[in-house]
Amino acid sequence: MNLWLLVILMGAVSLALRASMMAGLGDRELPEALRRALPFAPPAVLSAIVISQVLKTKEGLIDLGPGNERIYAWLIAAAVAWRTKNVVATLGSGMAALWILRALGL
Amino acid sequence: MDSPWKSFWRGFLAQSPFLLGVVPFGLVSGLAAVKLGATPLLSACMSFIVYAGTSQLVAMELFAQGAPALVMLLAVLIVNLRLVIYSGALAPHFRGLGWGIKTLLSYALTDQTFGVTMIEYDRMDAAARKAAAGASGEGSGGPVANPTAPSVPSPESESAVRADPRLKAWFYAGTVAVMWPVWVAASTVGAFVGAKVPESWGLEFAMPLTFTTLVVPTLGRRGAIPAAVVGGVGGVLLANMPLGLGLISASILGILAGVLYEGWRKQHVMQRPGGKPE
Repeated sequence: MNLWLLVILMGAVSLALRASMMAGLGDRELPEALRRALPFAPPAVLSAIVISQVLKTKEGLIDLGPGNERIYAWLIAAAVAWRTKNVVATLGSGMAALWILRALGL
Repeated sequence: MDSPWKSFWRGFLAQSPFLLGVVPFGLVSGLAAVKLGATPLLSACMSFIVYAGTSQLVAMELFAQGAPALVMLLAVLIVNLRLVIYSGALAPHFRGLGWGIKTLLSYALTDQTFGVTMIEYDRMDAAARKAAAGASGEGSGGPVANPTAPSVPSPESESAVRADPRLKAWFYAGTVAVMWPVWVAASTVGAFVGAKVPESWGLEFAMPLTFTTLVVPTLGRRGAIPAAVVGGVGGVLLANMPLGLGLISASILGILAGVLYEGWRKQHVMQRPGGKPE
């Protein structure tokens, strides 16, 4: 499919979700099951992405081995994220750790 | 009573500190889209057409994996489902405004704008209730907000008293006036500069890093940690599923884990007579 068309459809899906209650359904309640499940979508989806991106090599294979420097760099950054909840500090510490580990040839 | 301009400006100021997070996230998402195979122009346009950074990154990750369009749209739907919750929480505050305005406002709905506006609307409603109580002579000795108001008892119950939806919309617009241009500009810069960054810098690693900062604040809720663990482990175990379906399946399993854990905890605590309900 044409990527531009896809992006427009992605925008349409997002707008439909955003407008759903504010401009659409108004006072109607969400189904109970959906309401209970929704709060867990961000942690579930995001951590699935994070973990596989950290472990995946350029070839798309999972690398859990001790030679994968991204694991160590990410653990450091995750600790910083946990402590500071700050994007800049997390980005800075994670990238610095990655570069240092690569420079050391680990 | 605040003027529209004052409300707008307060929204602008309340949202501004968030730029510290939005700028790097925008840069990274523009850059990541290019690294994962989009042209810089497409990547930049995606930022204002979709205007939902996390789902943009997820969709591009799936695109790089060769997922079909339908799977990418499904992923956008799942990642952005939380916007329905936000939309529902904001809906009562905008009651009485026109449909077009509400749709326009909803287009700019983000995690950041939602967080800031809900705090402010609670404050505005509390002030409006206080003013109404003061006006109807039922103030509890506190300062009367509007002593010149006619002292007619309000026909509505106190909890139904809400601040002017137009002022709320102006406050919302103020937050968007910070978020939107900065997000679009940052991701545009990221897209065009990112195309020139050498591979050896490993900048694609910035993506899981920014995602990590988005996950951490969500983990406080009961059941969120099981959801994150199952989602994360599932993503690895199912990584070989074709068409990016591994990510979707892992996400659904993670959500289920959260729901089940929450249900189990509730029952468990309620069965123990000494158990505290939290």
